[in-house]
Amino acid sequence: MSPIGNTLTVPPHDGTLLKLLKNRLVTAGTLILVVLSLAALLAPPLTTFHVLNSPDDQQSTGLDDDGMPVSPGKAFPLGTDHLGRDVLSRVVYGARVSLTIGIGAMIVATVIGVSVGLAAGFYGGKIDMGLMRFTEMNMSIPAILLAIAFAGLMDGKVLHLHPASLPWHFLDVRLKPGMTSLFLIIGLVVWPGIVRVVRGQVLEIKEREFVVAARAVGASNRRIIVRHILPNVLPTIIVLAAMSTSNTILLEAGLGYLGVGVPQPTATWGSMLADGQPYFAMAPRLVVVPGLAIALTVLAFNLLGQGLQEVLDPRAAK
Amino acid sequence: MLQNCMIVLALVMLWLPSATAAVGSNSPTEKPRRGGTLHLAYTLDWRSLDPAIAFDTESAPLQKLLFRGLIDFDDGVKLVPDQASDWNISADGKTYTFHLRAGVRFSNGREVVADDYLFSIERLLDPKTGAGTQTYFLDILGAREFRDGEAAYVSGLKAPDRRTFIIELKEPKFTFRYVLAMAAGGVLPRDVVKQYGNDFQYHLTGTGPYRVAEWRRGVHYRLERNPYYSGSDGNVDAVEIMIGGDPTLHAMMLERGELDRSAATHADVVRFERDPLLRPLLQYIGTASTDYFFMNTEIKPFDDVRVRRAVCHAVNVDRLIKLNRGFGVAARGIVPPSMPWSNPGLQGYEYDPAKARQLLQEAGYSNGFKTELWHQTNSPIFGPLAAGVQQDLKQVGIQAELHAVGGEVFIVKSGTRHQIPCGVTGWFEDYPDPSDFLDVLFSGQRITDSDCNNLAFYNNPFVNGLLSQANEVMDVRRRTQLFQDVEKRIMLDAPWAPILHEQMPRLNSRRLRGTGPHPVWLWRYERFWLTE
Repeated sequence: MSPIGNTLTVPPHDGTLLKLLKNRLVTAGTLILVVLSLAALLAPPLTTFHVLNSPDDQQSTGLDDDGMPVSPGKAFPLGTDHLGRDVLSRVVYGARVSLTIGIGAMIVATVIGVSVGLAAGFYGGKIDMGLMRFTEMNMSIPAILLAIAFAGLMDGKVLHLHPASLPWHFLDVRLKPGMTSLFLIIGLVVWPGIVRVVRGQVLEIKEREFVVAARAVGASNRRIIVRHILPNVLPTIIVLAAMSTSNTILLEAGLGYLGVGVPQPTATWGSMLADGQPYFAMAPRLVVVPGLAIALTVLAFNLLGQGLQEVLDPRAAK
Repeated sequence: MLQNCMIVLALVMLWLPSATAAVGSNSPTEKPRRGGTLHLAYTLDWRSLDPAIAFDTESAPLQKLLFRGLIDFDDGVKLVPDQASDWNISADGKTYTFHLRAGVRFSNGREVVADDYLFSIERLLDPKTGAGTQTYFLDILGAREFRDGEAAYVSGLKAPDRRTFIIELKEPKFTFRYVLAMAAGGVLPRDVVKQYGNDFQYHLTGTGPYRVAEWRRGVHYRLERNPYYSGSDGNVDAVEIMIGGDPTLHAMMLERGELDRSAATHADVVRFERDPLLRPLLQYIGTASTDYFFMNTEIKPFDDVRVRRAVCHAVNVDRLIKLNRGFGVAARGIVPPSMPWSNPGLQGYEYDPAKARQLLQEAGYSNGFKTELWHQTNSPIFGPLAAGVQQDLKQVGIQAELHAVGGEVFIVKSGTRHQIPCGVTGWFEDYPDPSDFLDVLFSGQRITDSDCNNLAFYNNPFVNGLLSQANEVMDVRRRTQLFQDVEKRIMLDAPWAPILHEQMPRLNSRRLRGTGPHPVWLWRYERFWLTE
């Protein structure tokens, strides 16, 4: 470990954790997310012990004589949906889907966005030119359209990643709709937003003295990026990641609403909205409940992101 | 005909008196009032209203406003001359001769001549037109040669003078007369079509009671009276069609008096049913169709008849009907009960999950099995039906993964051999013959590797034999008996679990009259009239 590297890197502020805890936005956002995550995590055991109905079961008492959803009551605290399924259970299970896909997609987007941003900002020149034009090209297509196009490719076809002459079928990938494909898709359309910010920061940091000094003592590019630049961009990345999670969750809900998300009958907030829409006049809760769930989650991530920004990156927050 | 919400053709439905009972406020004693503007709304614009290209149930009643042909149905299913003064079919059943009514004019004022009819059919057969109805006209002598570019004209079409039009068929075919009554049989002006080519859809010119006065794609249509129309049809002065919005919105607009007729969702059906003031506005229109769950008899484990029977016992038809309240009546057999040759005594399979589990155990699937259940997304019914069947199957241990795809994908996938193990879809009748359900959908001799309509790939030599026998018999009673035997036999083999016969809920404004259903066209806009 090089002593120069350690001393020249700006160390995390002391007392950051305390500041985070004191920040009201962070506390509020975290609180909501903890509750949601707990609900999501505890849903399957609660179902096993019959505290919560199974989200996909069409309950025999779930529809009235006209085949209409049942209003909230003892058996179904939030009533049932158009197929007689428990809305409470579906909205709780929907949290699993939304959070998993939202956070998974955020990780995919952040990894791609940060890598491209770092490379473009650090190497500059033709690499910067190429990467940034590619990024802008991606940005010019609305994310939801691109995501729908990707989702359209998930039709159960098998992608052979091995040479046709070789029987390496373990390399075959089946393109089918589901959680994994969805968070990859969303990650693949959200990353360009991260690149620009990261690149901007890298451009600034790479001119600072400690980077120049590191280079002067012969540190490799890789070392400079990993040990000197990345730690300094990290606060921004964390803030961006929190903020972009609200984007990925909205996108997941949007795709679910349009019917190209996680396939039925899996409960997702977006598909609950779509299914409830025709019943809006008679049972507004079918739309209000998943709508509130989406709004609350997005709000939580935005609060968290903003709070993190105030604490970690005070200059940008102003 | 595969049911596909926007691409459905309900060409000819024979006779469905029980299913088409009108519930709307239509008093036959009231004399229709002429005048006013009829306000309609549709969710999506049509690909085209060109009668050669449009190919769906929904647009047929509209096409009849713009285009008319030689013959049409009366209020029932009897064929009557429309723009022909008389017509006859030769004794050998091969030659159709029509004499055109004098003074019939296109909406641009030009008189119709026999050559326009000749041209209109030639255009349908020309592959460049891309007519979905082409196959129906291939029974005409020389039609195939013309289509394949081997002949410059269709030898079976003749216009010896301005008022006489003759069609010769390759061989006698009873159902061909119904083909001529289709919307696709409407006459088009040769000169106008030649002038605009494929852009004719923007310059629609026909002999119907109305013409297109204004059309903004995806926004609205305005139809006004065709000043050159000489017939008696058409009560309202204009038809204003809004494009866009969904049925929920349309129902609200109807309540506010902004629309005269709209489709209805399940929620709206129940809302209108429950409200005594709104109830009279709700009308159910029966159709000769069957929605069903099919099992591919060539794919394991559905190759085992015990498994298929188990599924039939597991499917809770009454619950599925409840899920789609207002959109159908329970199906106990394959053929819609509104057909005269249907078998009303058929009981179908009783809902009995215990029996289903027992049958599965006998077949060696005591722990159930996994499968894929396919359905199409472009129908308000198939989604809930598929989810409902999935749940019913789960109760007996069968784990079915839902695959929802668009209509086109579904048609290709389900019609290809060894592709789809099971699924939910529907069939609308094409022509008034029992063969349209039992032969087209179950004949083993009709199985092809792709574009197959026998989605269960059901092949029983005994049934095949009965079917060929039935196709040769001309005696109606004997024929009915044979087809009923076929249906019974197929039900025993259980390639399908029939679910429901569709009906269409429609909402009518308080001032709308004349909405009595029609067995073929479902309804006739030209008979609609407004009290104020």
